Amino acid sequence: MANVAIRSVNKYYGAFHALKEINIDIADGDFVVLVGPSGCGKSTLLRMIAGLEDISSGEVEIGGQVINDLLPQERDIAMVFQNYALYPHMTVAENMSFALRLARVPKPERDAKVTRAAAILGLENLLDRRPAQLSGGQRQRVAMGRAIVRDPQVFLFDEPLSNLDAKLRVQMRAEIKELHERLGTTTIYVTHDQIEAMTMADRIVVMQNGEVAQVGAPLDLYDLPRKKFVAGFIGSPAMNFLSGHAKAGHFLTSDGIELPLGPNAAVEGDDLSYGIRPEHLRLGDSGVPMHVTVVEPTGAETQVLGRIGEQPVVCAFRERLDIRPGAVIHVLPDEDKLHIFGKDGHRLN
Amino acid sequence: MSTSSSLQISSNRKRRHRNNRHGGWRHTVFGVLILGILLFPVYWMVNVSLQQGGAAAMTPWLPIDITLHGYAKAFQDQGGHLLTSLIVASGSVVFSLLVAAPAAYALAVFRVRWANAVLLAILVSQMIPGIVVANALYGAYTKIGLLNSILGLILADSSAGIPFSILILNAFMRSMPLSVLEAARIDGAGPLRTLVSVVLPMSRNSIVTAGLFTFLFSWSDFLFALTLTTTDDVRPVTLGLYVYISGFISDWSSVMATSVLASIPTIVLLVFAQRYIAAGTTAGAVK
Repeated sequence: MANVAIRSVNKYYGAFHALKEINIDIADGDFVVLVGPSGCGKSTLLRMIAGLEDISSGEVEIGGQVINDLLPQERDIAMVFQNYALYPHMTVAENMSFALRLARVPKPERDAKVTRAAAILGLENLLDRRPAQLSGGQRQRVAMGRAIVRDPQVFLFDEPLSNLDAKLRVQMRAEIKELHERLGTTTIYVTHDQIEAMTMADRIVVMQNGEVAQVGAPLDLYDLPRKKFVAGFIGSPAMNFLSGHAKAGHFLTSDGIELPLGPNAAVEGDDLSYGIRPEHLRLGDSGVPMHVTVVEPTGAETQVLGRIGEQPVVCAFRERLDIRPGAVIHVLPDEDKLHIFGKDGHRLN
Repeated sequence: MSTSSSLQISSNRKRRHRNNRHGGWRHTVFGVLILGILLFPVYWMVNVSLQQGGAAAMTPWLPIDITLHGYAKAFQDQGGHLLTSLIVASGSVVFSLLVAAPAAYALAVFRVRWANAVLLAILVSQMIPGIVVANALYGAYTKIGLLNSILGLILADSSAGIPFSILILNAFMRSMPLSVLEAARIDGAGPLRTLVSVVLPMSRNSIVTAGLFTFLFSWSDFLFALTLTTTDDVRPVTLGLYVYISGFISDWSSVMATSVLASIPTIVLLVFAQRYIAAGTTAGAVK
């Protein structure tokens, strides 16, 4: 186990600046999730830590040692790939012990490590099978087993669950989290799925266009996003944004509808975004009129999609409501939960 | 209205089905006829080889009085040539794959700048007529003393086997999931270890395919053998058969028996190798 420090790291592909001045400190034993939309640079950063991509400038340290010039096998990391990347001609046991064999670990020790990892992952009965004879979930477990047997300082996961079906993904999510609790190894996990990030991470690094948008604990990012991008990316359904301007303690949407600012009355300016999460809108006769277009009951809640003025809005009500598309309901924003963002996308309140 | 149109559709379907059935029957007959024409020379070769010698055209249509006289004579006269062919073809396969596998791997996996230009050049080299290569080799072989040698024939046949194998193996290796090779890197395998322990086992089918076609080419090579051998010391069966026909035109039985014997290794190889040619080996590597 070790801490990981990423200091002023840049990545260029020719003239394209893919990663810009990345600085992240990951404490020993932390489970850090890099999350962001496709192309934001999260996988590139992970591959740079793994040694699969060169670092254009800056330094990456693992356990206090700069690893920029070390080969992947010298970095004491193990990586789980999105598409498993198992050796198809080897059995499960051979796949798991390949790295140990290359490191000339004696066979009894090798077997003991494979048996231990197989027991942790419930693979004991599959050790003689080849990858083609396994289900998707089992293959993913073998890929994790291959990482575990090496007992590395850092685990790297590159979107390991995105090839699994929804149900299995939830199950494997819990298994990976449990594995981390059990082994306590520093883990860096890349995903584009913000729910995965929220449920698994000790800390989340939100990335946007090759830059770190915000770093923080999952609920901190949810409750207090510093940028409009983070506010919109974290949370499902996503936060509502109503554009407009604020003056003298009032927010007027671009359609001329007045919304309360509550404790944020001091905020003023043009081209603002009035952010409110779907669950922070409640029904009330004195509220803002909303034209309902779609009603989606999920069982646990009812999501109502519609428009305030001409701007799209989603509400999530815990109650089971008898609302039909075409109806007009009145909603009240929870004034303590507002997020006001300026023209540049930075938080103002 | 709707009932009548559904009846119409149903009757159309039946008619089409009937036509298909008739069409299918006709197609089968046609297919069997074509197959019969294609296989007739093979049948005639086996038929003549099992009967008393003489002119092929005078041989009865069915081998009723079976004799292995032709085979005994073929073994006696051509056994050495068959062995030479086997050594040359096997040597060409081994040498071609030893050179082609690392070359294809390097061109496919490493970010070689001119990889595509090299591959194009290899492809173009396949278009050079064999006789041009054979003539060039004759001059070179005379100087370095490789005429009338097994090694000379192996190298000559490999001049066709290597580029072909590189193209086949490269095409497969390019389709190999890069993440598997990266996983090997992280596991601690260098380029050579990755080639030996991961890439080659995963490329088994393309290796079998490349090896098979190299064997078939070398086994049936006549041009290099004719150009690069001037004595009877080293003579593959193709050349042996050619000399045999000119010398024993009256004894077709042993000529055909030699042809049958010369066909057996290729038939056996094709039967055993065909499942590798069709199947894939990356199943389970990635989703």
